[in-house]
Amino acid sequence: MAGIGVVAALAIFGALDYAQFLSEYSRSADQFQIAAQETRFREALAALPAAGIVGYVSDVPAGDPQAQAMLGAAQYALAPRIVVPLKSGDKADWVVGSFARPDEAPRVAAERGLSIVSDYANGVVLFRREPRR
Amino acid sequence: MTGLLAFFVPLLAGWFLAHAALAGRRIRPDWAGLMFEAALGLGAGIAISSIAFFLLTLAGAALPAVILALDAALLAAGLFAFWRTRRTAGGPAEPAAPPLFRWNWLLALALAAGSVLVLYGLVSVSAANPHGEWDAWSIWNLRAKFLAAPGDAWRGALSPLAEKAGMHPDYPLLLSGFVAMVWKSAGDTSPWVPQLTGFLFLALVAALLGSALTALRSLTSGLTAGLVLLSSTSFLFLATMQYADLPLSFYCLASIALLLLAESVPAGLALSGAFASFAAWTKNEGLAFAVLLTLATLAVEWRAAGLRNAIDRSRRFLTGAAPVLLLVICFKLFLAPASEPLFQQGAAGLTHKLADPARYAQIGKAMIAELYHFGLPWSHPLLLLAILALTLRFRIDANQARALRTTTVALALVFMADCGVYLVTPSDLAWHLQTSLPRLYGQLWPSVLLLVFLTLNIPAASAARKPAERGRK
Repeated sequence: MAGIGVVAALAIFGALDYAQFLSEYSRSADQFQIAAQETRFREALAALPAAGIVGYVSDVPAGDPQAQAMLGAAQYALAPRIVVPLKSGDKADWVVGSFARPDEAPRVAAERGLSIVSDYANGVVLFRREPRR
Repeated sequence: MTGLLAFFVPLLAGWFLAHAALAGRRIRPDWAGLMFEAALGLGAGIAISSIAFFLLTLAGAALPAVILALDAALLAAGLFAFWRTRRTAGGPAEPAAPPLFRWNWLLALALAAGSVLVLYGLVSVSAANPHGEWDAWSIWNLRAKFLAAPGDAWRGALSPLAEKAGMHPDYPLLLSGFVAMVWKSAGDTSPWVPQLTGFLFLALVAALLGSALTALRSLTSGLTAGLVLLSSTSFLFLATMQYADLPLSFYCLASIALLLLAESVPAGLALSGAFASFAAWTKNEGLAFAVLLTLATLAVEWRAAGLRNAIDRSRRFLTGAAPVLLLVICFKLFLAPASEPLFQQGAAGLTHKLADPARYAQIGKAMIAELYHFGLPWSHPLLLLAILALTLRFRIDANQARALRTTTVALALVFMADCGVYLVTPSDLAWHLQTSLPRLYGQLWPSVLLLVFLTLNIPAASAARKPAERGRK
């Protein structure tokens, strides 16, 4: 029966240790700031159609680990619209930009044939695809 | 308020339905039977309401008022079933036997204190990170947002474009469906729903494990298993992540516990099948679990008691599993065909991976490393199990031996299937192992604990148990 006693003692001290770890971890738990992203995209959300495909552009290179998180956060904030990285053949009329450096938006717009509809001054920019000539 | 109703009414309905389904059970002590029934019922309520919501969505009728009406209908059905079976007691009450271990109160106190401490920490993490970890907002809750959206927007979650957006449209919908049902009823997508669902499943796992072991062995066994679960930090953390792995671990545990209690629970095999099918509606790994548990039942029973008995038991198991398995198969075939790159590899590539010894070594190393991180070093669950094994030794009840063999074979097959996926994964193997291995352990851990504790020679609750029922390993 001593084994059960030892197990109980170790478990309770382990619980104490783990609770302390969780308390410290909770200070940095939301590393992708998803709640903040919902606020950040709120105005763009109101301007977009209720559903459908929305193109996505960013100044962060696709290979950067941050790029995937930024795209995922935009997708979560803008659901039930489907957010897909903009490619030349895509049919999306509306395009959302999420920028680490907001002053990059005009350059990206010029490169991709987009016109800026609204710049929300928080790194989120709403574009429309310019009609083809 | 509407959201709370939509959340709790299906749970209550599930409890009533479970009470009716378990009528006539011979689970002692009564409080363990009640806890077992409550845990199963709440889990069943989540599964049934998720399925009902999905069917309403398919029919284009998933409006908030209709959802609440359906919840009310489920509750009425549960109440009716409860009323019909309220007088069916589980046989004459037996006098409680004196426990052989007199320090149970101290174990209960340690478990309660430890649980409060850990729960406080987990709630702090969840409060700081209300949308959960990566897969929560990129898969599970994201799909729930689509399902909760007005009109036909839900179809977006199952479209090929959803695959491009990394949503895995072919993943089953139990968790996303339940969360979406509450969100749609409430008219918002507040994070408290997936947060509370995660913690609820953690509580259900603990309650089911503790009550099943108390019923099958002793209160000491149930409490000690609770303490080992409390030390399984990697598993506990799943509650804050809002992934489908924790619900899956619950449904696998429920299916296995019902199989082990099949002699004490009328329709236990059919219920075990039903919970295996709920696992299949939760994750792809759950589908593998349901199939492999069926095969294990067939194989072990055939070897032990002949083909006719094996077919009879498998038929009863499949009777319970069939309705939801059929839904899962239809979902996979017609609504969201599998787009996993895993199934789109050529034979040459697969053969090359299977013949590569470096992949086996890499998987083995990662498994050992992850096992080390499954708990804190000096209260690691494997250390605690080793202490128990060394001090108590082993004992297997003869009347549980066959069910234990069946469930052990099933879990071993599931684990081997998971290892097979790692071997042939088209993703970068290191990344795949790093991101999924802790969750894979978590899926199986409560079931493994149940089986391990059924082999440990922990003092029994009842000294009156007949010697003939016992066997020695």
